[in-house]
Amino acid sequence: MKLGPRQVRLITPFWPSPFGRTVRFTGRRNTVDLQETALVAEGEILLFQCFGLERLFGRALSAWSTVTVPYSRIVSVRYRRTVVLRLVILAMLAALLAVGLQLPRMKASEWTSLDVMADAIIFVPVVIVGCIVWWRIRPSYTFKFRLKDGKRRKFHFAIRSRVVKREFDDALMQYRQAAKTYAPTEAAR
Amino acid sequence: MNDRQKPITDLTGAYAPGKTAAPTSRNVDLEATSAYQPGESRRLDASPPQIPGYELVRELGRGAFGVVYFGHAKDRPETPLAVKAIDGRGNLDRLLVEPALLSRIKHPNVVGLESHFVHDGKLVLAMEYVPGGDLKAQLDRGVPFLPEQVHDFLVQIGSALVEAHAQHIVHRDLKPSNVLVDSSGPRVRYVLADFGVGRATEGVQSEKNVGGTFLYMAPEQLRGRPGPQSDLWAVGVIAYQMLTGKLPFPGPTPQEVARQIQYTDPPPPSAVTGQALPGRLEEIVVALLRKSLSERTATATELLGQLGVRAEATGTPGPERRVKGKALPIAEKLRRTSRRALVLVLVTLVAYMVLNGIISGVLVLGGLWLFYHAQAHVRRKSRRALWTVVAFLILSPRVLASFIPRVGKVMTLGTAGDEDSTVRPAFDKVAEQIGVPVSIVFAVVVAIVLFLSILLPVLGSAAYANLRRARREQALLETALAGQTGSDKFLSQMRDMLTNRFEDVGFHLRYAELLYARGDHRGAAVEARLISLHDPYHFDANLLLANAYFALGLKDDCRQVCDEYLAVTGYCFEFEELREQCGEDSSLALRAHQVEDPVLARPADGASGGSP
Repeated sequence: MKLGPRQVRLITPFWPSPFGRTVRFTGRRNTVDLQETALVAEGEILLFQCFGLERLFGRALSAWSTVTVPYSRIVSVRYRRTVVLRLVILAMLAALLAVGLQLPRMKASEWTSLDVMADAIIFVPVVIVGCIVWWRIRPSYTFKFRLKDGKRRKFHFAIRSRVVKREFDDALMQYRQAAKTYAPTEAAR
Repeated sequence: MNDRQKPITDLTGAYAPGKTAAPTSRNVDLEATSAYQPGESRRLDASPPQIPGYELVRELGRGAFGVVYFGHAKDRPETPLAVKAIDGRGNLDRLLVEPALLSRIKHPNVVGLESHFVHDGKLVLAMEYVPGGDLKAQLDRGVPFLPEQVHDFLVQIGSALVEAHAQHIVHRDLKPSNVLVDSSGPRVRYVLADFGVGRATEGVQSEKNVGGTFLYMAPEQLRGRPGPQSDLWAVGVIAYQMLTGKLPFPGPTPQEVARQIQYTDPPPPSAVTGQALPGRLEEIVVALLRKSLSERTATATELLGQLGVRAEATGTPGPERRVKGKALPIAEKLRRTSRRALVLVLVTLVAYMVLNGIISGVLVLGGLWLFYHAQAHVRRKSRRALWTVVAFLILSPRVLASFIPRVGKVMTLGTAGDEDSTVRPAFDKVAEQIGVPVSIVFAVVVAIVLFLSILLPVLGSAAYANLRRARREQALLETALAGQTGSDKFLSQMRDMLTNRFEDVGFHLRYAELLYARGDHRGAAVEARLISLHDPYHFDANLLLANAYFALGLKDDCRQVCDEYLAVTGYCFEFEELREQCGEDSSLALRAHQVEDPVLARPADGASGGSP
């Protein structure tokens, strides 16, 4: 089962990864392929982080590569709806907006003489930030796995369609079960 | 048999369909399968067998285990049928798979099953009769098909596969002789037949599944792990054959065919025929023949999408939309894409310079480039730190310009930000015309310049990424073309390109496979080991590494690679088989390589060596 770019989006987390445990994908051509032997995430992987500049220049700072994870090496697969997180952030933004609108107006210059302009200056950025937060922090999978040397890595991805998500969950469960059944060593289990 | 030759020989031999012994002679029929194979229609010499409820008129074809007759049901003489009688030979359960699969698929492009039953120790299938013979007969005439016909074929068979795969059925033996052509209607209808080798795909394959026809087998099918994408590969091979009149992976022996299927790329159809194909037809066929499952067209639905057809819920093709586009060879298309991206990079570069001043532009872009190069491509830490410092030193005047007016004045010389600029009078004029203070006009212009100063590098970097991608595809295409001529020049080009694409596992693997195909097993092993630095569990890279070790006679290493992979995926019979071939014995002479490990011998900064 292969999820193409229209079905899956490999996500660069909103927050930085200081310890380099997160494999950070960028771009829109990424795929996730549930092969019989392993899960293969293919796409543009960021080569390094640079103070948020990777948000703007992600594709140029990345290389096309793959991450292969045998099913027995999966530590955990968690699906997070992030509804609470998003609501909390939006509530904070709303509070900020309310406070901002109550502040005394600064001395209006020639071109901001209208009160509505002053309100807009506060209102518009907050709404934009709100939209970005709602859009960027979307429900997603956190996929943790172990490397050969035992180190842990993770990456995040979101599946767009509920039907595809259900199929993906079923297939992944089946493969993980098979991995447990056939794994020759206790460590692999 | 020499040990060094053993993997390939055994590999192909093991997967020879329907055979227990490895085919080694040139007389092996590469198109033969264990299943029934329709032949030319011929009159019945002997009297037809009596099958209750059916009247058989003549023989249509004959295979290894069965015969197909033209006939009809006694109570419905107006409906012609193809009645297939298969000799059970004590294995009726296996034979009952085909009717079980066929009864699950209802599709105009899959041969319909009327009924099936066992009679006199034979399995009898009463199926829809498709007049017109099979595709093989048409291909044998040697006349290449028109692109429109190939498009039709892909749409119809793709649609049939959508339905079959939705029912979790893999055909596994798609080839021209299993595609019937019905020319009786206004539009040619391609019908998929013979699911004798087919299987249901539920569950994980923990055992090798042999079966299929060599020339149309996908790499993973050769290894014994066919899946839905193997059917798409076979469709790609047939489409290629229809377009060019030639097989993409020809060869006199199964060994040679297997080698080509696993390690070489066919030249694109336009390079064979010398004629460009309209729309994206060529790209679609090439994508169907990608060796890596991740790169190959993923599903039949995706194939239909690429062809501009929407698969309806029933699996039948919806209203057809011809894919329009200029008829250009794929190489030319890539060249144009590459050129366009390069022009866009240059345009954004020049625009940035114009907006910010040449000095500032050169410093910012040069500094950023150095910084990127240091972080992305310099592997030695001390050298990377040095380059990073140099990059910041180059960037620093531009940063200082933001805080020190005198420096800023020099940096923005001749641009909108320059107070002595010749464009200042223009601001005054505009401000006067629209009736706003000149400071507002100036502020708006500065804001626009600032916005563009951010936007242009973003656009430029995206164009640069596109340029890199187009060049990657160009390089891969050139390898396919060069492989045709036997030239080695492209190998050094690929090695050079790898310097800046060290993380590109697909590209790296392609290079390693090419080395292996050309007999440079040591180079292939080195590259496969290097790939594992980035993707330690990459299936193809590990299998290539194990095979290369085996070919080099390094059985201990081969066994170690197999063991490591089997430790995490116990059902990988590909490694299990290779491990068994390695045996338990190990020769001390073969352990000499451990003194000089190829990976350790490689320079840390170099991207690729390859040659021994």
